[in-house]
Amino acid sequence: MWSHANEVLSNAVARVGTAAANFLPGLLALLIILVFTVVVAFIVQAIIRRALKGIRFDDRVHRWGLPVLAEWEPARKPSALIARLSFWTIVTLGLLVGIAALDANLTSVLVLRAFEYLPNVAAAAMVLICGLLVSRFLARSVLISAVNMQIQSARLLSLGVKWLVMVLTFAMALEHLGIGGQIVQVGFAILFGGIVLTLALAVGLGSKEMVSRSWERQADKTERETEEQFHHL
Amino acid sequence: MPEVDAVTLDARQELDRVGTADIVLGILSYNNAATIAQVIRNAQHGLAATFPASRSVIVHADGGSKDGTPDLALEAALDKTALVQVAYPVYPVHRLTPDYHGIPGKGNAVRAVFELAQTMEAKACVAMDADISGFTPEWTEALVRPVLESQFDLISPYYLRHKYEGTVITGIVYPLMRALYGKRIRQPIGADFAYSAKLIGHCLEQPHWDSDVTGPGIDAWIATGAIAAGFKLAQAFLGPRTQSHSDPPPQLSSALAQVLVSLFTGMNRMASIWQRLRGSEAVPAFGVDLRAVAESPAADVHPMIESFQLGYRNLQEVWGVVLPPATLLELKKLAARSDDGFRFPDTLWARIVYDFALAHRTRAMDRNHLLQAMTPLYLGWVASYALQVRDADALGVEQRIEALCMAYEAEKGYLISRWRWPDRFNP
Repeated sequence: MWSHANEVLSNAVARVGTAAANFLPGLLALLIILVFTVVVAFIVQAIIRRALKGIRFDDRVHRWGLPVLAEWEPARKPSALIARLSFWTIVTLGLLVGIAALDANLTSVLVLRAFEYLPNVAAAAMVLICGLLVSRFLARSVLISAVNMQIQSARLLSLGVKWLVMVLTFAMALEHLGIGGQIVQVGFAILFGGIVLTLALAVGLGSKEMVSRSWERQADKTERETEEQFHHL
Repeated sequence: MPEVDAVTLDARQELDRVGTADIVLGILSYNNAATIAQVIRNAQHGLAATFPASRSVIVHADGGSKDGTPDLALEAALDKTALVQVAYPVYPVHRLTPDYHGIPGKGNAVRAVFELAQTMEAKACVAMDADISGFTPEWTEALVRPVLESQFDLISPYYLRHKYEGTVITGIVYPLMRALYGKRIRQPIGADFAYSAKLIGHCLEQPHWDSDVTGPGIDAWIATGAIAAGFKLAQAFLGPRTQSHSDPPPQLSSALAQVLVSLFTGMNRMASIWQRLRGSEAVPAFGVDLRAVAESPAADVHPMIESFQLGYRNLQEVWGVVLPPATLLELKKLAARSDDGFRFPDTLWARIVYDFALAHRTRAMDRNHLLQAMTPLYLGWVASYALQVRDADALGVEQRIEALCMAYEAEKGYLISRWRWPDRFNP
């Protein structure tokens, strides 16, 4: 009885020891590969950044008038964006190679899943980028037009438009990623409907007098300007 | 936009009937039923009375009027054999945003008149808008005689306007074109111009008959092209011009953007020419100068100052992309001033116009946003100008405008520096 238990115990310890002995070199290899990859990624990033600076890439983007990239400025220069993208691509590849050293089966499953999910991620990223650009463009359009129409709350209007587009964009991106499922759709519908209802109530009831006063002022102003014949052209 | 034949086959058949002409008077119309008859009658009467020995033809170019303008024009013609009617092409894009002068696709209309004038071998050609209610036969003489008898190539109109009228021309177009191209044409954009056969031939040879330049900005495009090519320029005093629009005029920001886009696009194309020019010279003027009798109504500048202040509070991030820090600091001080002390320095205004031209060239942001964002600044300048000339007579107003023009000319070095080194020279 005792000898049997002792045998089982020693077998278990031997199995764990063997598993650990098999796993540790892989882990070490993963760490070495990761460190090596990060160093290589930094070097590649620096080379790309310097090369793009050398050919005055940011100026060229300006001159070509690429609004998609130019819209990110001055927060992110187009060259910095490309360099950072290359950095993270190399690190991700390194991570996959490292995991392969750890466990080949796990990597193949991971890579398979990752590639299956990749189109969703790409679509979501595209939706996010387009949504951000559209929201910035529309926000600026509304801001400038509202100021030219002499609407005092121009900035508020612009922010409202920006966040409406952003909320719509995030909801669409999450749907592409398959996160949240119906909850996102229902949540978005409630949020969007709530915003529209709030605005309608505010204009229809709360701000009725303010709006009418504003229209009166506008009509008065137009009339006065016509009388004074202040022609700009 | 693809280039199209501005003159249709029907019009060319009409030409065979009319033959040649010494003077072609082009009348451009779009829904001008209220004024077209008087304009056609006065034009034919004026040409017959002033130039009896010359063969004159009226070319009526219509942009698809829906109020019966072409029929009314035909009915009103005193000599129907000397009237050619053409329909110039108008694209949907021309109708989306109404042009500030009320003629959609004016570039195509002018081109159609030019092509017909060239085919008829005309020595002088006039292009005028049909939206005028105070047109007199004397106008034809004032515009045509300098071309026929003094060999001038481009006659620009000089209308009698009160001091608050045409502030876009006073504050931007005239001083900018004068500083850039060195010619003092007081009203470079207008509705009534005269051209020589030589200038028409030159214009028709140009490849840039696109919408940016030859849409609403056709006048400025022809004038700058004529200056650059060394043609002889003159001005004609025409008296007051009363417009009669059938459609409501576009918003100020749209009209301003239309004017600015033609000026800035022209600047881009002519950069090698204007960078070599310094100073300016007077342009001969014909006719009777009636500036002294122009009366001005009272003007309330407070709403315009409010617009400027609202713009300053909300558009700083947009202006910050275009204007250097020193200019933004000046604007901050200006926004804090009361109505009485509100003065927009000439140097500051000239630099702002130059900075926007540069931002248009470098595409610092969406061009439509850029041009529309200038409206509050422009209103600020107009308010300051109106306060400064409130009690001034005609001479005082001219002195004020002259001082502004001198500031534009003095700051031209700033423009050239920023134009050549937009990144390095940023005070």
